[in-house]
Amino acid sequence: MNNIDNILNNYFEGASTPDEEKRLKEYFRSKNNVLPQHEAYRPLFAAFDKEKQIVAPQFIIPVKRSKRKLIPMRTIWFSATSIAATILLIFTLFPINRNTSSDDDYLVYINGKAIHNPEKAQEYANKMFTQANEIIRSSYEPFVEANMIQEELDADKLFDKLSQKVNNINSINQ
Amino acid sequence: MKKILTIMCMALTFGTTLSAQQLEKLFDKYMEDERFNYVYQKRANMMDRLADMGNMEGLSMEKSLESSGRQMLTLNSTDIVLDENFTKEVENALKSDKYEQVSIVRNGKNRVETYEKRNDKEITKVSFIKNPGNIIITLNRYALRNK
Repeated sequence: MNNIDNILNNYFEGASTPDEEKRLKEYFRSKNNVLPQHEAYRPLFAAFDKEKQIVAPQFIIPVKRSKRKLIPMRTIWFSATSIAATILLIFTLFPINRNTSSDDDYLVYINGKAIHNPEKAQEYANKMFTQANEIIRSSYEPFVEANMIQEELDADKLFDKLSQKVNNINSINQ
Repeated sequence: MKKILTIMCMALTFGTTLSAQQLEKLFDKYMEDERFNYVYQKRANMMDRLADMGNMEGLSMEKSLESSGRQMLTLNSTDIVLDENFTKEVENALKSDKYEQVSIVRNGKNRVETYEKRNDKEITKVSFIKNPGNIIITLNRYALRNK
């Protein structure tokens, strides 16, 4: 038993060999052979045994959660509104114009029916524009005539003409 | 509060943009209507331009102007209500598009009004002809050439 005491001393001084530690553990594991003076150390070595039985918990690596941050509803709402407004603005500022998308120079609808023949379309277009121009021209005709009459009846001009005539007559008489 | 302000700003911008194209929208609205005749010419040549303006003014002869298309909408109808409604629509569109009235000629029951709108890039001229049973509206666009 002195031997056990020596090993214990070495153990507590940290000088025991692995074989000696093994012997100590076996000694304290045997329930009946442990001397009363050594009973105090039994829980210590029992604890070592228990420790040995503890199985390391299985470490489960958690499934990586996506690192996406939760975007607040306000931001989503604001972004969606901005995008919608931008799209609306683009469509409004640069409308898809049927006229410009057409390769044809003329686009003619007579009573709601499209004229697909380019020559006929041109013919109709010219006819209609001419008609409109004729109406405008005839409407302005009296105005133009009135302007001409006004110019003819301008007192200064009449006086100039008369004075020229008088001068001519005077020069002939002299 | 911010949301309301944002919406109001957007609506205002959108509304302003929309109202700037009322007359063209009117052309689009009625071009396929069976009561109307519609003509669009991509680019009027010099002779057409001369004919467009007739004796009205010499502005069309300016070399800095280049035709960027003309269109015309004609309503031939004996329906007085339709005539009046269409006339009102045109007048409202001209107002909201901020066209400046250049001249009015009334000859008996015929009436010819001309309007104009200018900006840095183009001049738009509108002739609005109102005869009994016949309404014609023409729109001529002229792009300003860089001198």
